Amino acid sequence: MSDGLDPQVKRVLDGEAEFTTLPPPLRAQAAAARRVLDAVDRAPVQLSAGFEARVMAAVRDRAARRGPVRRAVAWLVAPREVRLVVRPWVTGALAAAAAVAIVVAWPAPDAPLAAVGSDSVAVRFVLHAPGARAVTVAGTFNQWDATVTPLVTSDGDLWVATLVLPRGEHQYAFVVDGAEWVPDPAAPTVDDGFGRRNSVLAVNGGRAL
Amino acid sequence: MRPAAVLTAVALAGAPLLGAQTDTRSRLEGRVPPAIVVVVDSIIADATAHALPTEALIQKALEGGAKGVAGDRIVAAVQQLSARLAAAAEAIAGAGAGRSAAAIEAGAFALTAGLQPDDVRTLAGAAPDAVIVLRVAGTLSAIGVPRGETVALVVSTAQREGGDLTTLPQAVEAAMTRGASPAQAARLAQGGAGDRGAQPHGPPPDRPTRPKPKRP
Amino acid sequence: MRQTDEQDREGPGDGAIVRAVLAGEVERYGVLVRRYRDRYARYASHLLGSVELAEDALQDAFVRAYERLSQCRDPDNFAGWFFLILRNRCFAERRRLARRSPLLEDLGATLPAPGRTDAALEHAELRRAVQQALLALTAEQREVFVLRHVEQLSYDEIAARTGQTVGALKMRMHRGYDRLRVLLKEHWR
Repeated sequence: MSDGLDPQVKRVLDGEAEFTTLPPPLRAQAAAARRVLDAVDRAPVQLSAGFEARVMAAVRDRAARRGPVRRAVAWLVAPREVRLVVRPWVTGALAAAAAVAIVVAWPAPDAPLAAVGSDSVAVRFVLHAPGARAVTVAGTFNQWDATVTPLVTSDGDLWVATLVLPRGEHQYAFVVDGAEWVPDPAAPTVDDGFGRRNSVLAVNGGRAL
Repeated sequence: MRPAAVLTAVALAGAPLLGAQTDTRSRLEGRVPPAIVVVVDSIIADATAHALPTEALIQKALEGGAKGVAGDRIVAAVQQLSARLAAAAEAIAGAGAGRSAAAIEAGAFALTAGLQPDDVRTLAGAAPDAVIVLRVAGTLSAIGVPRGETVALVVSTAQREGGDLTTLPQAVEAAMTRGASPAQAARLAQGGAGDRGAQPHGPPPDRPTRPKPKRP
Repeated sequence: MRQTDEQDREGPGDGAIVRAVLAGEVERYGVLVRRYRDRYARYASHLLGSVELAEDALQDAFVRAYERLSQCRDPDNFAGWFFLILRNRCFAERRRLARRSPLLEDLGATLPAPGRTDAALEHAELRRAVQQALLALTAEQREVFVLRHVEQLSYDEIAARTGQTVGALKMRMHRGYDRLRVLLKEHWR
């Protein structure tokens, strides 16, 4: 084909021969080709800011969606809601700050292809935080990254996220509007070593304690 | 893929890092101040040398960085946690229980939640699975149950035939929502009454009323 | 696709993370997402012709990789395994787009000739023309071109990643060169 490049030129473009090895008549052809190749856009591509959060939301959804597994302990067959209510003796000041968290726990299945192990629990974190613009949860299960685990809201008051947590002792806190670290007021807390409190959630044998 | 091709592909993907030390630093870099990375790294190396699990130490440093805490406070918190891991390990060994990473971490959790090394030793020796015992005890302590009641409740449940440790935190909280103090609630649960029938002492404090949150 | 220094230092190897996720630490999958999202963004956007399509393909590929994670035979080579999942997704998308607009691959037939002679403008026009011409190559030709001349992999590396032989890759590339020369006739001097 008369429009085809000479094979020697192609080898140069492939990086398998030097330009200087080309006979002079072919050098113009190679130079023109090289010019085109140099114009290829090699700029890195920037993905949108919420990309990772969208991926992880879909991943968590997959992890949590599988059906319940039969276990020896009868009561674990169906999803179970554990209501942790603000303790009655908590003062009004704290109660004003945003209060009830409901943890819904059900056992993770052990389907052969599932990435969720048999000792994991899907836990729904819920925070009543009216007026907040953004709520995330940060803890030992996400390397304390306050940006990667957003809660979502449909009414602006109740913020929700479902995470799958493996066995172990987890500590966490909610982060409101990117700046305010709020322990879960209805969960047990421990001193975080920095003058604040962390919420704790221990997962053992496929169950949240 | 042919073996040679697999090697090429692995090399392209980046060889796994060598050594736990590089691991620690790479996880902390960019998350805590550089000077602190060095210090925390040495605390962790020390813990490793004493066969202590170190993930909780890395997490504590990451937490401090995320919360914008001053470097010296991060170091202090990591050191404190390292000491708790060591104390837990010693207590567990003293009970003759298996010194697994999970047990040591659970023991350190119990110490963080307010229990003492003697409590950890007692608890670790109470049942074959020290991990669950210590996790439940730590949770109860974090709820507010005093040391004595925590140990008594957990040990008696662990040693009772058919006793289910994992139900204890909820049983205690259920009693607390009806007005019992944490200590009272623990004693109720130990009686096996759980949330059955028993009355707290004194008038119940005012409970704030609140509409049920909407299910999302 | 060259490993950056930052990625080199970034924590435990892929194998450790894959095993952790399979053991139940679902949140750690985020490390793999962060690690590879940018590396393959450029490849996907060149194959598909837009960043938006690339994002969709990447998102699908990450989720699909999670769903099938237990089938990853060599967790230390998550990157190579993930690349194949992404590649399949990109090719499937290309086929879907081609069915929708069958003339897509004839797009290059009517590329405009260069106008102004101003050097910078000329370069910008050339760049645009080249991008359009690339879209007019077949998906296979475009892929080998992108991997060789954008991602700067060797033929051996491309062969390892895609499972094709070096000979087949070169043949495709050379046909691609010829096609580009036809498409970019006006710019070829």
